[in-house]
Amino acid sequence: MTLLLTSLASLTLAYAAMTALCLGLPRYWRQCVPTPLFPHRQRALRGLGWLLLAGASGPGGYTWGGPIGLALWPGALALAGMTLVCVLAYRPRWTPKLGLGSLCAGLLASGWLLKG
Amino acid sequence: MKKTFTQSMAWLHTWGGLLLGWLLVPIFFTGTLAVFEPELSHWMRPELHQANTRVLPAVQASTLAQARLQAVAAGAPGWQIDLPDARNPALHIGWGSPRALQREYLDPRTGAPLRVRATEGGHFFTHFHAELDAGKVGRALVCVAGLVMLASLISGIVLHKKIFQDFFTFRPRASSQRAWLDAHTVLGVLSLPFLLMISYSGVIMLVDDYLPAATTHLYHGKSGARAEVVKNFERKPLGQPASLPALAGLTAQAEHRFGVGMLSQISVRAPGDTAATVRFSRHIHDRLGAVADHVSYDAASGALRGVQTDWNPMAYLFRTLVGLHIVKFGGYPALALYFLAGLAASALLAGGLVLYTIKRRKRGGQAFGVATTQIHALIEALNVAAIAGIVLASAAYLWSNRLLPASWEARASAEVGGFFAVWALSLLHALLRPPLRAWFEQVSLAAALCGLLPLLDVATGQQSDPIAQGVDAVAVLLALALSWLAWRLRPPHAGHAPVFLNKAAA
Amino acid sequence: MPLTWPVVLSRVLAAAISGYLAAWSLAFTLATLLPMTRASVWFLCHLLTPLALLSALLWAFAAKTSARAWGVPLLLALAGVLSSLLLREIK
Repeated sequence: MTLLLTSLASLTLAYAAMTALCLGLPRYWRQCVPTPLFPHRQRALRGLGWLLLAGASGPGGYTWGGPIGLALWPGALALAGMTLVCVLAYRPRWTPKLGLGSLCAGLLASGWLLKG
Repeated sequence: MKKTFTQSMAWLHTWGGLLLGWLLVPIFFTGTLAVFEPELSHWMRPELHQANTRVLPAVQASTLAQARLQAVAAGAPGWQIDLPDARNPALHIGWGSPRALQREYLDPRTGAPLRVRATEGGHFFTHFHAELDAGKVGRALVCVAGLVMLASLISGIVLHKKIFQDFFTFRPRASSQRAWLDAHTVLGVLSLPFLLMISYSGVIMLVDDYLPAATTHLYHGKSGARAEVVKNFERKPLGQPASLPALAGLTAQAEHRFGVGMLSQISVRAPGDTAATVRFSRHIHDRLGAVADHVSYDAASGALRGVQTDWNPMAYLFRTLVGLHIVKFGGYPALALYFLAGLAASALLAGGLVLYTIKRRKRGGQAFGVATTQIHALIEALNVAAIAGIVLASAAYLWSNRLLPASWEARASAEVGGFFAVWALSLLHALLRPPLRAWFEQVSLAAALCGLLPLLDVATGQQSDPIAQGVDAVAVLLALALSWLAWRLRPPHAGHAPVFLNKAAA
Repeated sequence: MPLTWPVVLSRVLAAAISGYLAAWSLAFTLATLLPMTRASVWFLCHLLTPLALLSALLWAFAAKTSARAWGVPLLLALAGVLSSLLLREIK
């Protein structure tokens, strides 16, 4: 159960991070959202993205310790990135909602993991 | 070599990628399978299958193993007991001299020896991955392939100037060359940390076979570093026979020291002698560094002879990179991650190979002079064999494990022979058929072999077993992916254009 | 200069031969000069010689002329061996 929660938490947080960073780039925002991207929103997305990127290393580090968590972290990011690339290519309009849903799932899973 | 640095790097990326790509795709694919070596080995030994997942505790395992070893090898120079764990539930024992152990599997409930079919199991994939089944020359070749891979990664980075702006760009509906280039690039960029790590760590493990400078300068050609880093608490036998006391007590002591369930192996030196020593090794599933702490006891008195939990820092650094490569840590999530990353890497390399043919077909021309058409046809065929062929050969290897008679002594080398035979047939088929048809036929066959694996398992297996079922499940998932690929590759009917390749390919 | 087979072959051989010699020289230098234990140097060699081989491979194709492609690694190899022998005598 712990393994499942850890995997879920790191992958969903990684996916949310990738989505935030992606939407923070104007060319991808335009693909997904009809309204224009204002600077403050762009900064917020990028800030959130980097924060979640770092945070995605949390669940793995918590369950398996620092070194192993750090080793698996780029892998989770890569997997999340590949999923996002497919969503962007085939269903770009889903990107913001999936990102938000992923963030909620990630926070829930992390909370559950910490609760023990 | 060319006018600009970028152009030279582009040339190196293209040609290094093409020529070594035919080796690198098999290396990456078999490496991906090797992530699940224990599971595949277990699948390939149906005699060991059992429905319950309870892992035999170390103390009980040592007792059962000792009973059998005492009966069959009381005077052997050494004993080895591989303790069961979740991924290797069987009780595996060995006796004889360390380099040439005689091996046996024991029933975990009774300790009775099991008659298990001769097979290399999943280890063949690991072996092929590291050596191409070609000994020292093979290892040197894989080392060179790894170096070219690293060079391709670096030249790829140099080539891809707009790395950050195009980070997530994938345009599958654009022209086929654009779509393939995007896919190849995106896979490469997202997997870059993994690819750099896995290639570098692989090369450092093999560099000694390609460039034995360190061994020559420091140890005059002999292997000596390991002996200087791993402490040895054994001693020469005195030649006085004695019967070995029960190992269970020492096993319990070792578990007290390292933790319950943390032992991986018991090794007894000179079990029939008064000077017998017992060494307990700790597993490496909870650390990055692939170094096994160990503790040794005097068998007769139970006195501690020595323990090693500290390691030479340079050796530990090296073994950490090895550990990152062989991924024994992190449980099934880590294994799944590496498996998917390996498939992505294989897809990256395969995409590069296919991209070459698409570009050349579009451009036409006389890159190789008068022989251009034949050479391009050869390249297309080698692509099919390197990509679809290796998948087919691997599936055929598993199929041969169940179809060849279980009691045949030579079946292990026959299974390996089958792998190479199918691979050779794949190349032959690809040379004889038009490219798109060769792809479609081989991918379809691979999908069928993978998809039907569970049926084969049920029909030829002995008991249902969760690990074997896991292998079947992954095979089915692979089959789904391959079926999707085959669907996209289906030969054009009237009015239906091929979707993957340039129109000129049909 | 047009890209003919002899040019390509020269670069490939430069990568293989002079790169190999440069890496061999690096191992010799490390083995001769480093004050660490023998085993430590052995492992360090395994970590660094692949980087030397990789650099030589990239350099062999990036160098502007064939002379540089061959010359730079060979010179480095020579420099490494000579300086280690010299420093060993001094020690």
